[in-house]
Amino acid sequence: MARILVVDDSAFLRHRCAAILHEMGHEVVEAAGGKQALDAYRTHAPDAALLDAALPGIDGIDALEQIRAFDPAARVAIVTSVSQQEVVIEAIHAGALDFIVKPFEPDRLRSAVTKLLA
Amino acid sequence: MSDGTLSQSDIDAMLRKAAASGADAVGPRPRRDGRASIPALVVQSATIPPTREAEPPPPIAPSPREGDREEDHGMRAAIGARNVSEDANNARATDAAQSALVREVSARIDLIERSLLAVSGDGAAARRAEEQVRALQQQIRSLTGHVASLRRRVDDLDRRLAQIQRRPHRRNRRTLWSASLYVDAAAGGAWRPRLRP
Repeated sequence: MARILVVDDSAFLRHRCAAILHEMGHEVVEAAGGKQALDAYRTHAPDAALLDAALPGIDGIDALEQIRAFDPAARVAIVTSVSQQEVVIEAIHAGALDFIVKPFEPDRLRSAVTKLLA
Repeated sequence: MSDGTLSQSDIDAMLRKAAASGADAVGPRPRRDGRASIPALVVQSATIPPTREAEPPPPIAPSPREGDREEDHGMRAAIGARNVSEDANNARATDAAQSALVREVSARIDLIERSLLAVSGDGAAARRAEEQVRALQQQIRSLTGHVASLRRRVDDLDRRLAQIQRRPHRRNRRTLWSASLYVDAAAGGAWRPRLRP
């Protein structure tokens, strides 16, 4: 069992991701914004994180960079409806290991988490 | 895709390329100071239609006095300015209506999300609600794109109107003088030739 941080300002998306991750047997920590994501990451030291790109306050890419600054081994996937090429390239440069476009099928999320934890 | 958005399969291909050859293989990192914030990008994402040229003003009514080219030009300029102004006002009104609709759709998505949380134990209801959310998300993307297009159109029309109104040209002064004759005539007054300014 791994601990996964799920960061999204939509309660529904957090709930949906959490349901899939619980089915996979993982523990889930939730955060609704970029600042909360950084606090939660420091507090809970998750094995992997799913970050929305469009977050209130600190956006997902900035949050990813800050997470990687204090944990260079952080394993993070971006989960977002913003699939513009510029954002994808920036996420990859920032260290995202996967990029999932919403709306997604549960299998896509499962495969991303499996990849992050491999 | 033409608006810069990528499909999941495109992104997966980029991720494989980055994993094999490094992040630089997918392209240079975008400049930080030039990047809009992600929430700002959300507004312009997905289905913004291509910029349309502002529509030309409606056909000009024929001049009441055949052969008087200067007055005909004045009438055309006056009507053109009025049409541009009306077009800009109409576009602004539509923009406001579309913005209100976007807010309304957002509120409905929030409501459905809350309902979804409440019924998440019921698989069929949850799927139906999820389909509704997807449909509304698609609708809001289209509306957001349409609002952006309307704003560009209003800006363009404003520029054209300002250009017409402040063109400091002798012919333009004659134009306004000529147009005023038609205004007098249209108001029911007798045709009164005026001294030129």
